[in-house]
Amino acid sequence: MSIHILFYALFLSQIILISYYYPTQIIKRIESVIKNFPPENYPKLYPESIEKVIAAKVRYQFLNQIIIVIGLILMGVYAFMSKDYDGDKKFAEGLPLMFGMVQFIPFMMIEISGFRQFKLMRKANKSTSRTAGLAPRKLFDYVSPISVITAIILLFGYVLFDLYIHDFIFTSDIIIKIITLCLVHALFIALAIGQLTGKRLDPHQAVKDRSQQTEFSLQSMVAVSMLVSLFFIANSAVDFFQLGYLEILINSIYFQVIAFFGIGGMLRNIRLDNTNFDVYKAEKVTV
Amino acid sequence: MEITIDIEDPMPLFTQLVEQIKSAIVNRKIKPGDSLPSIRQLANDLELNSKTVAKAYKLLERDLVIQSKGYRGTFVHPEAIINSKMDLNADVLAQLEQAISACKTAGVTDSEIRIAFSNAMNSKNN
Repeated sequence: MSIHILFYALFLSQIILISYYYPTQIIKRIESVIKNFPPENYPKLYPESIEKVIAAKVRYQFLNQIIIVIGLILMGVYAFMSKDYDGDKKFAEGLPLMFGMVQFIPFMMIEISGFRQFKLMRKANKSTSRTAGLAPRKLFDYVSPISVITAIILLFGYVLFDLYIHDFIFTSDIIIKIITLCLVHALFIALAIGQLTGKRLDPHQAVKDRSQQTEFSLQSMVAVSMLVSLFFIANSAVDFFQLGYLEILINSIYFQVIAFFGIGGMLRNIRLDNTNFDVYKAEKVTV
Repeated sequence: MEITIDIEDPMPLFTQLVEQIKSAIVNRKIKPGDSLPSIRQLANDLELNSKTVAKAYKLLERDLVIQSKGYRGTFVHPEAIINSKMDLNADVLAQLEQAISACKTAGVTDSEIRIAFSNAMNSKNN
């Protein structure tokens, strides 16, 4: 019974945190940008009309509201299905994971929309002058070597731990997990290289802001890498110690921590009052 | 420290880069020993072809303004401040003017000087 109560609390917290709290913060941020940096004074910030921005914001808000309702329905379904559950075995452990993936869809839509906006900004950019910093961007300028080493240790630690509890036999389950980790980390490495030496997506972005964004991206990738390894270790440990009933709780916590470091980290670190919006002002025409 | 180039400027892009980096050194915006961005990073930031940045870096390395240290990257040369102030083009022009003046004093005609200069440039030793 206590597992059910804990699950309800955690699942409710997952619904509120990822589909209500962070979306509300993001909407507030969009509204603040529109209010303080209007298209009349900052035309470069709006490659599309303001109506389209507002429509996208409303869509994002509506999608999150639907997800909240789905989450509450799922809680009801869980309560109905789990009434005969004895409480010491795995039960609906994939629920927070599947729902968590659905919860991230609006954030992915916002990211994709952001990429589209940047593409339009680059297309509309008629400026002939280009600015760059003369400081090299190196990985350890943005993340501490200790965090990177910890992430690597955790990654190999997970592989060794899983192999150890399976008597060093490469089962298909372990191979799938290792391949998944390799793919995730290959993606992180490619993204990190892109952040450090790649082209900037926003053609007007100030050098300082780019540096700040690079710092946040690299730090969050290292944090997510650690979390993924810890999550895999926890999942293998609950299987090994036959604590499968805890898996549903771990899965819910995992998604909330990922959201805390990913979305929450972005909201905490990339602040509007520290961002240089002057770069989006119209260029003065000299006659 | 930031540099800005203008792609519509009649001055070649690599020359703008060379001048801006030298100016940053002379104005103490970057110091001898400071590391510089990689060719790829600077080319992507300025949306230039990496060959343009490589050419600018090669010229700066020739003038002992920067020095490449292999995989460790590119750094501002210890003598960069003095070397940045030196204008190699002006130096070449002064030396050529001196040589031409000496030739003319000796009675050599303009066309003979041109032919001799062309031969000297095409000589296998140059």
